[in-house]
Amino acid sequence: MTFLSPFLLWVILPFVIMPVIIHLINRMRYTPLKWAAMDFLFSAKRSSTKFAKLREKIILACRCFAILCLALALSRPRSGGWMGWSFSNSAETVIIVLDRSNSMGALDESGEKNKLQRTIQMVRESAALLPRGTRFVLIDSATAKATTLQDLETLDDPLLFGVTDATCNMSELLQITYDYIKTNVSGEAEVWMTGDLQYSNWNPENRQWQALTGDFSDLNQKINFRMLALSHKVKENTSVSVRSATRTRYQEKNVLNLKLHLERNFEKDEVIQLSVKLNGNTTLRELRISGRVLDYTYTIDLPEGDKGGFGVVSIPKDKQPGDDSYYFAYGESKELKSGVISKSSFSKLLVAAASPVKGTNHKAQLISATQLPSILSKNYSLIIVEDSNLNQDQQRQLLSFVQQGGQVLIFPPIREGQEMLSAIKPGKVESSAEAPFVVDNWDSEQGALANSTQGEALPLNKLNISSRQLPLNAGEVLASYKDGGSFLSRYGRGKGAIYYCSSGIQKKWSDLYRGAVLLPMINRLITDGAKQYSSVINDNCQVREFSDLKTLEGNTQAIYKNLSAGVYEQDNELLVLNRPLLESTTQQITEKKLKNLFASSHFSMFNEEVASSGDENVQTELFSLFACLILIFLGVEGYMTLRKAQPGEEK
Amino acid sequence: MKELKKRDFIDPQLLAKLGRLTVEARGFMEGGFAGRHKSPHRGSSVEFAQYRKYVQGDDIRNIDWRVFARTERHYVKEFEADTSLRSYMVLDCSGSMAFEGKDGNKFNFARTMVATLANILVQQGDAVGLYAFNDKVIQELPPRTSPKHLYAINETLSKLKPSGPTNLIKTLHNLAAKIRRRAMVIIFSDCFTNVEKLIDCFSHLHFKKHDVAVFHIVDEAELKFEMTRPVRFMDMEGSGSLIADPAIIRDEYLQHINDYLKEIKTECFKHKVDYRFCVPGEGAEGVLSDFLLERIKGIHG
Repeated sequence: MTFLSPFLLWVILPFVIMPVIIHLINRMRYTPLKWAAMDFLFSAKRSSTKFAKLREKIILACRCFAILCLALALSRPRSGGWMGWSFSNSAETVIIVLDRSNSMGALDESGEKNKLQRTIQMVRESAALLPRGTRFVLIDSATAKATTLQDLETLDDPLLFGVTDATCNMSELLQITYDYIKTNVSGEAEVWMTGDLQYSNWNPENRQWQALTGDFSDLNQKINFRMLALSHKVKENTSVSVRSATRTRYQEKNVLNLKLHLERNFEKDEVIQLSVKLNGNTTLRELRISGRVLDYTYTIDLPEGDKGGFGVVSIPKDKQPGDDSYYFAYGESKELKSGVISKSSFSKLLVAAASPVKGTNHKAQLISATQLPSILSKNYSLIIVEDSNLNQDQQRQLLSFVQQGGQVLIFPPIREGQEMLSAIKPGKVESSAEAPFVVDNWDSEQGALANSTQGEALPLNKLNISSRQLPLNAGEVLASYKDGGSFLSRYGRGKGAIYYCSSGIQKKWSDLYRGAVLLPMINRLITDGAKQYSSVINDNCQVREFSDLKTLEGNTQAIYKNLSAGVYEQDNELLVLNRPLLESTTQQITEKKLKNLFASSHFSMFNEEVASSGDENVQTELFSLFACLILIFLGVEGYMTLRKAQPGEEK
Repeated sequence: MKELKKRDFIDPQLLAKLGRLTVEARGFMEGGFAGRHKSPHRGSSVEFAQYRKYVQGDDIRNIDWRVFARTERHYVKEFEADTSLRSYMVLDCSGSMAFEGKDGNKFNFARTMVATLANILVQQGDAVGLYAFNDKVIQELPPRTSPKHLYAINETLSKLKPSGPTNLIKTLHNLAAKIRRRAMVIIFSDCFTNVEKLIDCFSHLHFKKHDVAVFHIVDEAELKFEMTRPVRFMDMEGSGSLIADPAIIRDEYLQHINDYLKEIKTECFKHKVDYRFCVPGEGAEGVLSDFLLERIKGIHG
């Protein structure tokens, strides 16, 4: 039970013992009186003491409880409270599933405590009400291990049990919970799940849930699931992330392009102070933002001979400090090589598209299929195949290149029925000169066809496509025609991917040769393919432990470095750990979906957001409850008092 | 003035109101003189009344044989059989009688009733004695008929002060053993003692053919027990005390005292004791007039 006006409770609470004090003072103020009928007094005292004293105590208790109820009623108690859970708890073992993910660092309105600290406080308060001897077991998202807690006070240690930059996989934690219960718990158990209901943490579509809930219902003992949800959302939050840190040459200079992504949950014109710390030097820049999203490329000149570096981008701290910074690193400058296998007259166009600007480190050349074995060991990022048929050996070599992280882009025509790279099965060539095929749907968020850094969409819908050769197996469709056919498909193989564009660059196929779509698409594929040669490893903070990490940038106090965002050195490579971007999403799982997940178990939920939102029904219900209790106590008190007065009145 | 103050328990107005009434005995009395009360020894003494012709059914023992010898006719000689009344006023002078209610204390109330009844009895030519006691006999005045004796009684009453413990049981048993002839015994007490033993005393007195009357004096405060705050009750007949919250023990106290009053009244009725319940606040006139009138009418309490 929680209170909206706890101050009133503390003010009125001392008055609860007032009836007792008045009673005691009254008893102390006795008056002497000479009395004749002493025998009756003695016998009356002997026989009346038991019942009369009990009645006196009942009357006093009724008065005290009436004042207590008044205090509680005036303090506006809220029902469904987390504390209320413990009243019905009789389990021997309580397993606390603690969400320590990045989003749990969101601060409350006062800015004093984050969600995790509030969760721990509520868990401790509730645990204090449980009988002694209750065993507490902690399974937290950071360690993903079951630990018996001797003392819940240890949860207050921010170094051991603070917010991490990792995510929380609830299904995995509950699998650990199930394993623990099955092995170690014989009696009734309570599972107290805590978290902010972030949808990505629960991922209810995961098939693991079905097996998990089935496992729990098959257990012999009774398991009660209780969810403590802190679904409160920060009102004005801005998050920053670095989508890519790309080193390139521009106008004969080494530059670092940081593609920044700023996202807000509100719309207001404001200027954000952006701070970029690169190799120990901090530069500030003001960014004007008006919408909810801002993609911005921050370009930094690098000195000649620079062999790589690292840094952090940050914005001023808000109520969700966990997403206000993002780490990045970049490696040594390398040429981004591309090869074009083409027999058509448009081959030079493709070479030009792969190395569009002089002075950059992009390099493209026309190669023949027979050169593949010698070329693929020389740091190539992208191989473009246009109007060419490869034999089995060449295809095998190219597939090996893809699996190591390379990218392959294939344009038709391909011989009908010939499977390319064990992935693409081309269909018939279709032509429609009078009514061109229109691309109307594509993934503009990410990938090869994503919007530009300025937020502008690629003009795919303006392409004039007169011929196409659709794949029979579409793979992952990145863009599609009006009739549903795939324009650009992606076939992931190993670390790399094969892309198939169903229309060619030749004039009889389409106007792709104009470059508005072709250039950015090829450049993105080159960048993706170059990642395999990078000495920088970008990863998310996660439970998996890394060996021998040396902190270069970030929290040097962190005990678990794998859970703390930062730049680390590992085996002469730079390891950049950041929060998973899904941690910045605001979508929450609904209570209904949550209940569905635990449909076969006893599940109850306390949502602090609902409780603190001033739900009138809940409050009224409790107020009337305490008002009724006051009436009951006063009624009993009145009855007992009047009953006592009756014999005298008869006289 | 001092003398008058000492005797403020005598109420002239009460005497004036009750002066025309008489104290009637409920049974035969054995007085030393002729009086207005029936004697058990009819025809055996005192004054000759008349001769009457013998009629069939008369006891032949009452035939005057001397007259028969002279006249050869049967005559029966008749005598007056009334005798005087000897009464004992038994007054409880224990500490409990000093209980001070809002209408005065019980002892003064008892003294008023004793003085009034003594006056009436002397006025009608009966003998009155006084027997004052607490745990022992304090004063004993044998029954006499003279007005001078009435003065002595009043004088004694004025000097008595209630104090000490009581021993009503022993006193009444001693009195029953002491009084040889039939008499009227009127007891003035709060009777705070064991009811069973008290009734034994009454049985003893009744066995000795005495006419027993009890004026049971209880103060209104003792009956209602209306204190609201905790009280330290100090025993008036001893040194004990008790701190109690009347609110807690009231019910039980009232239950006990009501049971006690009911029991004493019932037992007195069973043992033909003229029981009179008196509350000082209600005044002596009502109780005494009821007592006297009911005896005159032959309605025995």
